[in-house]
Amino acid sequence: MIDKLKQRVQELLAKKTIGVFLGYEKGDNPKIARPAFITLPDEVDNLIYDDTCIIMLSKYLLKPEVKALGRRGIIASYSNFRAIVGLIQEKQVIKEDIYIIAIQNGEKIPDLYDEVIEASGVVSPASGVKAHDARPKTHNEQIAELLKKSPAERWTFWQKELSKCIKCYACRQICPLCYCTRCIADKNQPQWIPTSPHFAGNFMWNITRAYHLAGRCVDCGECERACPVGIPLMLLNKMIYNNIKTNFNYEAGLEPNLLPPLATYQQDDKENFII
Amino acid sequence: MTQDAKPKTQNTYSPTPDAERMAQDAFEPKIIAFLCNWCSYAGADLAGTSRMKYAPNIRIIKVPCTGRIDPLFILKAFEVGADGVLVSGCHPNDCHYRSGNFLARRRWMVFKDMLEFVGIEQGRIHFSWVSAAEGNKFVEVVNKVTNEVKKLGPFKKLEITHT
Repeated sequence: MIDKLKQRVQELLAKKTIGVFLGYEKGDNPKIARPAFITLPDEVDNLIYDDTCIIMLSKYLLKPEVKALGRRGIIASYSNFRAIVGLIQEKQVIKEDIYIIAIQNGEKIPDLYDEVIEASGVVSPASGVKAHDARPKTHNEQIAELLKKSPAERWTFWQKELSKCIKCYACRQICPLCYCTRCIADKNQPQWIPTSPHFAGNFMWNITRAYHLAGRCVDCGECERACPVGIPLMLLNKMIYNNIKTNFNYEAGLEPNLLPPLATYQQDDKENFII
Repeated sequence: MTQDAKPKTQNTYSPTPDAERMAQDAFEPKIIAFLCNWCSYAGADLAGTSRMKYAPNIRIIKVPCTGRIDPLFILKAFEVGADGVLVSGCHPNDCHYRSGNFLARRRWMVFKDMLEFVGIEQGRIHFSWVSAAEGNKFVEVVNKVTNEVKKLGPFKKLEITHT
């Protein structure tokens, strides 16, 4: 499978169909492959594809340095693919400017690729979430458990978790949908979100980020994986994700022509909570 | 507008006599009210010019439309010391900018559910539609919100502590 990929990328670069190919190569960390930016046909031998390939490459599609290299080719497996579709939905990426080589490994993929490569048996479906401790329960199970508790117990849980935050913003840097060139957290005249890692600042940051991803999060789990102190960020993001799915029957990153639900409205939206 | 209409029992405002207040050191909540310029703010203004009495705990922030309100404003209000927040706008289909309140409605629903999940008491945040002619309703809404927030006590969850 990797030979086919290398061959195709070489051909695409030689014919100048693409200016740069975003793939994975072996890096210093044996557990996580490093992003590769292949610009010359001879460099394709660096490409790999296996279980270490979990980083969201779609993050690099928006970088001006990568855009300057020309039409971007990219390898896309399930989570990565959804992030790309999410960016297309929000008009951050124009489909014609990228060339998608989709990885087919048994999961349903959006019908938006330029070509597809069979990879069943090469990798397990990329989940992207490597927990810091062995979490025996899935996100949805943990969310259901939390919802059964009282508000005071939930507050205790989140107070404990969010107190760990050190404001490194790794979650923001790695999230494919966090692409604002001027993040509200960096604004200091006036300052909306305190930058200090005290609880109030941590709460404001994490809640604001989770809310800004409402209807946009593609459930890749990278934020939780990247968090150096092990905050269960996906419980918050997934809860909103489920809420949006229940209320608007919508999941981000699957249909390129749909608008995110919070960017539109219906006349008969639920308003039983409004006085 | 006269004052002799029978007030509804649960949404009344009775000013605490000064002596009693000083004796009890009773908790008076600070409530930030985000009101849209065209409907709710005008409704509040009508309540004022009609000399209607209502709880004095709200601090009004006028926005052009509820669609302008980023839920971050609501969070910020709590961070700087509000005990409760009221957000009020035009009724659906009455928005001066056509669809601002529709978009706000969706945002509020998601935001409210998220805050509930995190453990913030639901009685601290309220949303309402109050039109420019509804001075009465504004009074009712403010009294209801103030009573609910008073019962919950001061909001101390986002007090900044340096540990």
